[in-house]
Amino acid sequence: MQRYIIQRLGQAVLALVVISVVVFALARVTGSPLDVLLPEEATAVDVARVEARWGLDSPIHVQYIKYMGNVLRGDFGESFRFRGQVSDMIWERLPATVQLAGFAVLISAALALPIGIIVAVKKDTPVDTVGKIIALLGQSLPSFWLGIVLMWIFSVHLGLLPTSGRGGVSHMILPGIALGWYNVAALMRLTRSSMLEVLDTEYVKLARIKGVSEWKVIWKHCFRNALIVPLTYFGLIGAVIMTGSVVIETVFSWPGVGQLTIEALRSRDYQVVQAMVLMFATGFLVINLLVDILYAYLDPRIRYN
Amino acid sequence: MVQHRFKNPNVLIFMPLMASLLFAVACGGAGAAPEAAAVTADQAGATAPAAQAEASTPVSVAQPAAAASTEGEPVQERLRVAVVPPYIQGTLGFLMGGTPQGLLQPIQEHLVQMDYFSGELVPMLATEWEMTPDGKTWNFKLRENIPCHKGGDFTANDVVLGWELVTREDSAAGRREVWRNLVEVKENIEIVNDHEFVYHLQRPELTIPFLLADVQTDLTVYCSGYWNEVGQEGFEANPVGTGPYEFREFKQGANFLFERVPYKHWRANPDFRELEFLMVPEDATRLAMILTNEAEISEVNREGQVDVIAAGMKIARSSLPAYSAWIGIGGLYLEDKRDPKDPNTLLEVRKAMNLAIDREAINNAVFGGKGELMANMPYHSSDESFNPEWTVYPYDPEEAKRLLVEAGYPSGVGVRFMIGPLAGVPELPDMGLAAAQMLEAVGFNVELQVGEFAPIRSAFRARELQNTLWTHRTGFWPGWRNIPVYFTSPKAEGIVFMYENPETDAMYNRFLNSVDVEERRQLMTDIGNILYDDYGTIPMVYLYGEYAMNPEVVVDYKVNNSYFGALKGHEYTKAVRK
Repeated sequence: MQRYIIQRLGQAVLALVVISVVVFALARVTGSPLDVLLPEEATAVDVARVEARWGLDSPIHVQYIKYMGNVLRGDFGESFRFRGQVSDMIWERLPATVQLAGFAVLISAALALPIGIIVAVKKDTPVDTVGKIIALLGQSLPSFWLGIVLMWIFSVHLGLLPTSGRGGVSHMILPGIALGWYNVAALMRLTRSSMLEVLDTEYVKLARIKGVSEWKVIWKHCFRNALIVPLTYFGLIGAVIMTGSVVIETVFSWPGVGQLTIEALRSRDYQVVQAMVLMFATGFLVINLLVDILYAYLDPRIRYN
Repeated sequence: MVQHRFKNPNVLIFMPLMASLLFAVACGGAGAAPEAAAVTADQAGATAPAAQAEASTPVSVAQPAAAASTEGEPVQERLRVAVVPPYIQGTLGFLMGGTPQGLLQPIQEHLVQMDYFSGELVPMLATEWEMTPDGKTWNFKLRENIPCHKGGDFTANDVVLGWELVTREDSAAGRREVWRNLVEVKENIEIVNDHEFVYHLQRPELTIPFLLADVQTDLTVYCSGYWNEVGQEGFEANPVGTGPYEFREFKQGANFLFERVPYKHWRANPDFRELEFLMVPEDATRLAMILTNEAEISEVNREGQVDVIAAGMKIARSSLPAYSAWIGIGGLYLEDKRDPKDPNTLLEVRKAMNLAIDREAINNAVFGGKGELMANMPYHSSDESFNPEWTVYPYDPEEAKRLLVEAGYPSGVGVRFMIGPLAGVPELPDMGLAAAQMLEAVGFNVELQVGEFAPIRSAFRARELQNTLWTHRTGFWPGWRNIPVYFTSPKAEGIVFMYENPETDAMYNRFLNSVDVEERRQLMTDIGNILYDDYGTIPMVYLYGEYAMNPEVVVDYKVNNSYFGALKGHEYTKAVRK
């Protein structure tokens, strides 16, 4: 098990290094931040001055080495756009994103797992059909579109919920649903298929023959064993929700790191973009690492292989 | 068999839902922003809006502005304005420059302001100014007894600090170089006394009042006493000024909050106790906010105005245009960058481009008929240098086709067309696409490149827009302000490098060194004549600043004609008295 964890950790570090190179290069391919930073009236003297001020006049490999050296010391640099330390900005906005992401994950789990179980138990009934429709809609509707439609229905027409901003519980509902909706569908389908597989096993049939209550069969014998597949998907949910927050936070003006990422992309704020991608990538890798370890713990065949 | 009470799996749905709700309650912050509420309406006074003073020409002695407008207690609690977040957000104006500095307009004041209705320059913190005949010495007298928000009074030292900050190495002010070159060293700003100072300039400059005006933003006033006391960091945490609102809060990506000063302000005492700018990047969300009363004023696209009006809201409009939308013709460079094979360098081709565009149709289809057709970029008909003989180029596709044949392109000619959005004119891409279709119809083979504006900016700075057209918008500036930016070469004071012509360069140099007002006006007209006859650009439309407002809370919002959008002028916004 220890060897397995070390191996996976090594892979994760390598992936992070590759990601940092790719992001660093791609950010610069999009163009110079000076085009956005400086007003139209800026002269050639201004351009040269600001370029030197931000170290953009050095060769790209020098910039990268310097940047990574700073990152290893925990310094992500200064934002071109907000003129503050990038790490401070991320820490300031991260709680908002974690709050929304946590709520979206809860919504996803709260809806997907029970519905998945119900439609599996009620296979080939109208309930199952409704579940399939939910799954289809969930995976085909773009989250930004869903967000705007939800806002239009529940805020503009019904006046039940606020349109945007971070405030009380009511402010979290629409962005939470829009963010978690895709995962509801995916998780529900996984739960359903996993449950169907388990429901068809010999030990479940034996339990039923022995007269174990249906609730106990479903909840104790089937659900626990069927959980391993959706559990793996939870690793992906974290990543999907973190990246989805980029769009949803913009639609709902939620002041989190997702919105910060969009603002940074629009203004070519390399420092912020790089830090955000590294943060998302690290989060994704850590979550997947944890899931892999948990998976290996639950299924010994994985660690022995 | 034991029957369990959770036999029905449907029950399982509700348990996690309850858990989600508990999580949400635990994580929830403060409640929604307070609704605008009426307060002591009967005590509120009402007077005229913007300070209306006699207009001043650059060489005359200006008259003091009329004092205070709205007086008395606030009428409503909070005015929430949903705005497009500027690309830089912060609390130190000189580090932001340009439009983003509009975020600080409620707390800041300038020496001069542009009248909302006439467009004339009128005194603000300056009471009068005078220029010596050589145009190199400017004397300014300042308003007395103007308090800074955290104590101390406004003095000439605050003007000097403003210059020092704007010309600092890390300044982002668009006119940094202009101010550095004009004043050169701090000692060239002579302080006569606390309320009088003199600029000793390195060259004649007749437009100093315009460069100091609120619509320029660059050279604002910084309360030096407070700055010296708390330093840059302290000032950044709690910026102050002399404006009718005080700074209260800034949350990155979320909002700016201001509160009305507790004393009678010399110029305007706002109807709203608090003013909040809500940063809302998404168009649909800003529209939803005005429809749900979550904002009292909102920046809404012109196409969204139909929904706003249908919901009983109103559209406030500036009395003068705020933007001009046009299409640049690239490749008209001096010899070093001019490609002799570039079709854009042929007059017939440029004329054909202009005659191919049905401006009226585009104005109706894209701008809802709200634009004012432009005859000659960069001169509005109200510009003192405007020549009445400049009329809007006619729509004549047949003549355009004939001109292309005459230019040697009987089977059409290729041109790249770069289209990118810019704040304030969201219709710019649609305008570009419509124009592209019309160009195609007369024989141009248009290679469309639709994307961000930034690559266009890179290209014109590098003078690499040969055989290219691009969409653009500028603020509503006088011709002489735009000429050096767009219509001079690197040999003059060129910046954008679009139309380079030794003749116009020479005229502009004469303009710069002239102190004769009439000669300067005529030189600008002469440059305009060349641009018009040479089809130097594809002029399109002037557009007004238009914002949605809730008439149940806001009676009147005087929209300014700068491209600060809805960030400016809320000290004059009139509230409904309940």
